[in-house]
Amino acid sequence: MASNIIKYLIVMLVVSVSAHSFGQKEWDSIKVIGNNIGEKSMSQKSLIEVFRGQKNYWETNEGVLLILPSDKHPGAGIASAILYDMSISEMQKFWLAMVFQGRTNPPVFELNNADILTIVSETPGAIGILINYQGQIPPELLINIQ
Amino acid sequence: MTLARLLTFLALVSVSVIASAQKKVQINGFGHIESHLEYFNEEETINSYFSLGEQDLFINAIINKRLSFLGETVVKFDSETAANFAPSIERARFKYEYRNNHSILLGKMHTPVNYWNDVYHHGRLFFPTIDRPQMFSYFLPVHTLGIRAQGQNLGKLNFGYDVQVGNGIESSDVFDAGANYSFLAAMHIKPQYGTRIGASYYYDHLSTNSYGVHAHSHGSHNTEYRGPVDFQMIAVSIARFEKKIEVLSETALNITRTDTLGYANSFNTYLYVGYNFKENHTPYLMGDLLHIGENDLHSDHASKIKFSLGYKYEFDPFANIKFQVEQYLSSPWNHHGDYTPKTEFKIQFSYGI
Repeated sequence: MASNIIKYLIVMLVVSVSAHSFGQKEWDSIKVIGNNIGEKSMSQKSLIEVFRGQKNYWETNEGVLLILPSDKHPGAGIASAILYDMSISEMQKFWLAMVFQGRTNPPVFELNNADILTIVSETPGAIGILINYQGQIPPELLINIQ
Repeated sequence: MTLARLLTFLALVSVSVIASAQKKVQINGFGHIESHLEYFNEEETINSYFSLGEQDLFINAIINKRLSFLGETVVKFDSETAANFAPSIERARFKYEYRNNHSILLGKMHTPVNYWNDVYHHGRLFFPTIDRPQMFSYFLPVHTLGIRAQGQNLGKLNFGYDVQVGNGIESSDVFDAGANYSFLAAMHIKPQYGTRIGASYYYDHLSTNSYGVHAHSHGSHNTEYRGPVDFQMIAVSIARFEKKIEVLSETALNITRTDTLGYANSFNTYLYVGYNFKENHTPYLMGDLLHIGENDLHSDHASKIKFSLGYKYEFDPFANIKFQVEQYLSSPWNHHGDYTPKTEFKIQFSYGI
């Protein structure tokens, strides 16, 4: 019985190894902004972990508030693919389920880049992504992704 | 009277809108409707009917930087009321995050004994199959009212823990006779995105083998034995939900001890495998084996196997429909021959708004 369980676990782990990688082109189309999060640069891996709800607080003691493009945002598909390896619809379902579990707080979904920029600039602890954004970004908000 | 109700309703709506505008409160509704066709193989009888499922009001509120509230109130079937439906508070808990990814929770919660009870709660929209594993109708302690220490996403393996003390299986939401608390310790890891492996241990001492509001075992509870029961449950869950393949394995061993018959072992193992051949289309298989020990005085004896073949179609993230054919059989451990096999076809429409 115990050996069968161990074999089952090993098979499960082997089957579950999958890579989630996206090209540099998609990453170049986004800019990450954060307000008093205590970090000016972040790895792609860390950013993905944050946006998947795995971090609740920054080193600055501010609570993490995720600002995501809503399904009406023209760049929503890029965000869902880069950050979640999902379609927009799957990303919405992911967050509906996460909030229902009660293990993380809900993100804020905004319609456009201007609204994302506004709410991040007004909310300490907020982190958001701008997609294909050509406007000015206050330097204190910009987070470099490595 | 009608005007007063209208004003009250408008006031509540206004509060909700204001709260939503401040982006601190999220309100959702969940529910489901089912259609059943049951065929009892030996008696050759058929039941066919529609069934209105649970209607669930869900509230998540961020009170301040550290404190949040989660409430889930369900209106569901209750044969003891005139309307056959009654509201039930399923979750009402405050969460204080005292340190990054470490929290203290206080209130009524779903007992995190396994993946299903910790993740899906009452949201049929998220269920991979139409029904819960059979242990939910027999020995699983669904809720606990008490206090919990919780950690999550710790270290490279995304380790998580839950340690909980609260009113146990015999209690109500406002009272528990004696001084018996239930105890739970659970842990899990998430080594890969979409994968969670967990285990838990639960203990409760039942003074009179009665049940309160924290178990769903109303139809399977042994109502004839009223002596003390030491109740233990060990559960293991393995979940892997990836783009194509979905696997969920839930196994629980329930050990009860009575002065009359000593130790009794009961178990349930449930396995779901789904394949997303398109984003919204998931055919699936499910097997569910339940056995209640011969000398178990907590639950009525049962020993049955359930196989299902199903198909889930998602209209969008907020609505899906599941079609499921089920075959119930007596298990090889059923020495009483007291179970009537049946075949069932179910359709479940579930939604979240």
